Amino acid sequence: MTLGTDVAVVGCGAVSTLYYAPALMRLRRGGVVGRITAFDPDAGRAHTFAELVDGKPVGSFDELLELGAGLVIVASPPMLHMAQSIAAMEAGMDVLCEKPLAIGAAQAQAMIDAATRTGTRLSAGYVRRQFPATKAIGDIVRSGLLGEITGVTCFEGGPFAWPVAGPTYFSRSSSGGGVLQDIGTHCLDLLHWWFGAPDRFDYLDDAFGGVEANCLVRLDYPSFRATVRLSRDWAQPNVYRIVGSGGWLAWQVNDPFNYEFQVLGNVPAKVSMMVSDKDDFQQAFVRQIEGALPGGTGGASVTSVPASVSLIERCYADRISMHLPWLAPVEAARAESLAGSR
Amino acid sequence: MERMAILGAGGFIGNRAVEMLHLGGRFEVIPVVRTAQSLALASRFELDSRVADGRDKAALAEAFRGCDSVLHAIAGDLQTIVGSVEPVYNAARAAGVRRIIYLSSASVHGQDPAPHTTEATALSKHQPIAYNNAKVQAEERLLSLRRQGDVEVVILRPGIVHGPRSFWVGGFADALLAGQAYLVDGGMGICNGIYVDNLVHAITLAVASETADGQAYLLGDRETYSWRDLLAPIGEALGYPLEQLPPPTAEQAPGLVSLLRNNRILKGFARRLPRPIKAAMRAGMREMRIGKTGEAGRGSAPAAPIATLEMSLLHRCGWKLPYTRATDELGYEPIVSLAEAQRRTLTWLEFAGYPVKL
Repeated sequence: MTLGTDVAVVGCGAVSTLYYAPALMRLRRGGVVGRITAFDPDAGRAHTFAELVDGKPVGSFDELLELGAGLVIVASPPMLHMAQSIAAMEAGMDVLCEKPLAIGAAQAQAMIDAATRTGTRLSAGYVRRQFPATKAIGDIVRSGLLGEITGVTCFEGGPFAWPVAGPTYFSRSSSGGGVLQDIGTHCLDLLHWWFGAPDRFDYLDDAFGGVEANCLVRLDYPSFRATVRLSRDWAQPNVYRIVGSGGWLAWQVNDPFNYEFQVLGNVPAKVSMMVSDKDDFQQAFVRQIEGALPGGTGGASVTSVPASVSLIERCYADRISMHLPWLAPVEAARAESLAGSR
Repeated sequence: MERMAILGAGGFIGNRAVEMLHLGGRFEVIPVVRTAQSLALASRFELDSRVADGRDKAALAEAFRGCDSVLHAIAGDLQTIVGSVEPVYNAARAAGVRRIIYLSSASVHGQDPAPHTTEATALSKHQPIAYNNAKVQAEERLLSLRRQGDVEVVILRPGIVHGPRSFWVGGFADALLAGQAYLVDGGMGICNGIYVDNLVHAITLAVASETADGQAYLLGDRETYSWRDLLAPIGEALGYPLEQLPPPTAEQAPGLVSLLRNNRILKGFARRLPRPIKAAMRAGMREMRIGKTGEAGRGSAPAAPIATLEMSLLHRCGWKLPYTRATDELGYEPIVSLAEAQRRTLTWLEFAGYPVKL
């Protein structure tokens, strides 16, 4: 009889309660996951999460490590990812670390080195890679069906509504940045997955001493420019659009199964992936956990620094201010001075 | 330096107040919001932000600690409008705050005020728009608390506050793109508008004034202009000339659909949704309306927009509310002209991602 792999969850905020909890419950019902333990510095959140998954809250991170597990899911604020992941791997446990894997390439490399040193596996929670639609889009792009790609636009975001635990979510010291570090991680990861590394980039944002709510990334590839506009401010179309010499493709953000495309000379097609009735957004998290479990497919394994981590670090390093044309001249001048002080 | 708590810092006016006062350099700004997620915009700056519910006196007192003044800019439902007044006042008192600037609304005088209406005109709590009555009640309660307490109170009554991130701008642009925009009688009525920067300027004057305690002030832009004047540049920039807008139908007796459409809070939430979802919601609303009125046989012809009572009154307004008292007692004069306000607003629309042709 298989009891399933024990799983420990570190960080019981929104992503854990909204997404990991139902995925873990599915896996437990299927006998894939066994005991679930949970730790959060806020004991109330740990208890709430533990109740959701019929698990056991523990009082400290050390206690969680002592109890042991086959897989540790690290879903803490990004600045804690490296330390907690390395500690778990040094305790002999595989790790699935929620996005962003790390704040900067040095942290990511330290995590990868720890995995190598300890013989454990490190996986990254870039859940959009688990969508059938994003896999299909990558296949279409690589197949040449759209011809030579001539342009890509990704407009994503809207007024921020994620149920964060407190104001520290918006601190660079905790989250490592703003909207770029948050949803931009997903977007840049997908673009790199589909198109590879850009030749050059430029980056603008509206952080003036704090973290950005709006940003613009322009990635230049040999035959096209990808324009990424992200916002926590105002509703965006939330569509990624890929245009090629032979057609176009449009994907609604976070739609796991559907996309639209047109090959020139043919009528536009709305594609719904053929999937099981039980497949849904949550199932992407199930696949992600399954892949990270010992003996899993390892689809999210990390063996080199993710391109999105490096690119985001370089974006922040080379950042220039977005022009906010509604500011009075005195405000714009002070905004620029504050941006330089961060 | 004046230390001001901005309660409702995540809203349109609160956000611009944070931005303008912080960048203006003359205020130390403390954003206060009901939930941390509302700090996304304020967090562009390194500020001492705080979280407190507008009805939680203890949390508010903690949030106001060390502040000289409080800007009450909470937007909310009718219960919040009235129910937040006492906790905010008492919290300010407990925290040793000197003055509260309360953002009321010119709509306490109605959406279509009678000629010669001024601050001296008596207010009614029996107006057809519930929002107006709630604001009247809130003002009365606040002044009553002032008579019993030592925290000073200044009430500001701006009209239609427009500018970047305003519902009147973004909402109208969304409606244009969705084919649901309208102007009652061509929008030729007077728009008692005020550009948001002019309002924030007035707030700074209200904080500093030595004679404003216990007073209420109407506020507006310098120019007298119609709704069409205000909105035409948006239509032109988006490629929808206002003269091509279909005439709206009059509002029916309020049913479920109408109640949903007219609910300010729901509108606020709806504005935050991605455009495809908003379009789907509008389609759903149309389906519900068709189902209710038995007009299912009209095929795919777009339904004429329905003018709400509030919009009908606003678009037919015949009186420019004066801001003479604010000029005389606060020294208020608008700092941004309508033309410049419109220019800045269009640049924001482009920034926000609308298909603007400047």
